[in-house]
Amino acid sequence: MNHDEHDVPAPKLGTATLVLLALLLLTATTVALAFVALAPALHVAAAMTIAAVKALLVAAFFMHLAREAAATRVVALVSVILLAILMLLVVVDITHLGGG
Amino acid sequence: MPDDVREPFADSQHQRDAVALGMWAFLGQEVLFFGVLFVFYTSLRVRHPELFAAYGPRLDWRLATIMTATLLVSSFTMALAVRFAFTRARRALLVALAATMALGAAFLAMKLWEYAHHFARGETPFVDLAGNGPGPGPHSFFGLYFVLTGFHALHVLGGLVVLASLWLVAWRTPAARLRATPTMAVGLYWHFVDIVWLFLFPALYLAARLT
Repeated sequence: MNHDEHDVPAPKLGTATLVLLALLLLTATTVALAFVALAPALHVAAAMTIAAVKALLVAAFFMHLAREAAATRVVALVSVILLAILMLLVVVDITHLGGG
Repeated sequence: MPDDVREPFADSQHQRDAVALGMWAFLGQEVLFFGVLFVFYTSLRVRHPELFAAYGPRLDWRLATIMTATLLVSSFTMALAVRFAFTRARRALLVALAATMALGAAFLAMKLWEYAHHFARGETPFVDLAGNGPGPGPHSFFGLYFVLTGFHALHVLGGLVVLASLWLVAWRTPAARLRATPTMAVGLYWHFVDIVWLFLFPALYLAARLT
């Protein structure tokens, strides 16, 4: 059926397949890294960075955030920034102030 | 062929953009909801890292890896479903939605199997049935595990219910009258729930070094 590609937000089959393969590869990487002897903090940082890259791939392609209106991208970005502030202050509280 | 345009939108693109913005605003709230659960996680992990070293290995990382792949493939089929909804490929849409539901149900089945396994081993949330005495212990770790994965599983269950209603509507509606934006909205939710799991998986199952 005829359709204007501009009206279809979801990725094409080829793009979607590549994104899925990248996500599965990153999953295998994060599992493999868990076997490597690293400092605990480095382990957490590596695992969370890989998870963030996977989340970005899902958001940009599967959730077509990359092609949404600017206002929509701002809403998504702000929620991530607010989450980062929340997490940062909690970590500061627990590690430096002994918050109980 | 665009969706029929409803009040107060000027055209179908305007309408689609509004639905996307609304869904992202809702997902922003969901980010903060799961954010609070991750605060719970961070608090326990920083103050009692020994719990993660001792009880983390009791979680089945092999099964969890399969569960991760299952959700990722379900996101792939969901993205295709959204594409088929917009191109009015009704049969392909029905197949893609059914595949997404089957994968989501498989994820939940594995989750329930896991829960049953933990309960059978006395690994219960918060309530210490093993008599380990006061203070943090396995029940603290499994309390965290059940709260985080439980709220996530409820989100998957909710997604399955909405997907089933989408499927029924697509089943009963001729291709020419199919509306694509509801499928897009459900897709955004489904992918978000997938993203939450992408963080839960390493945070819980890979918290202790694997050997």
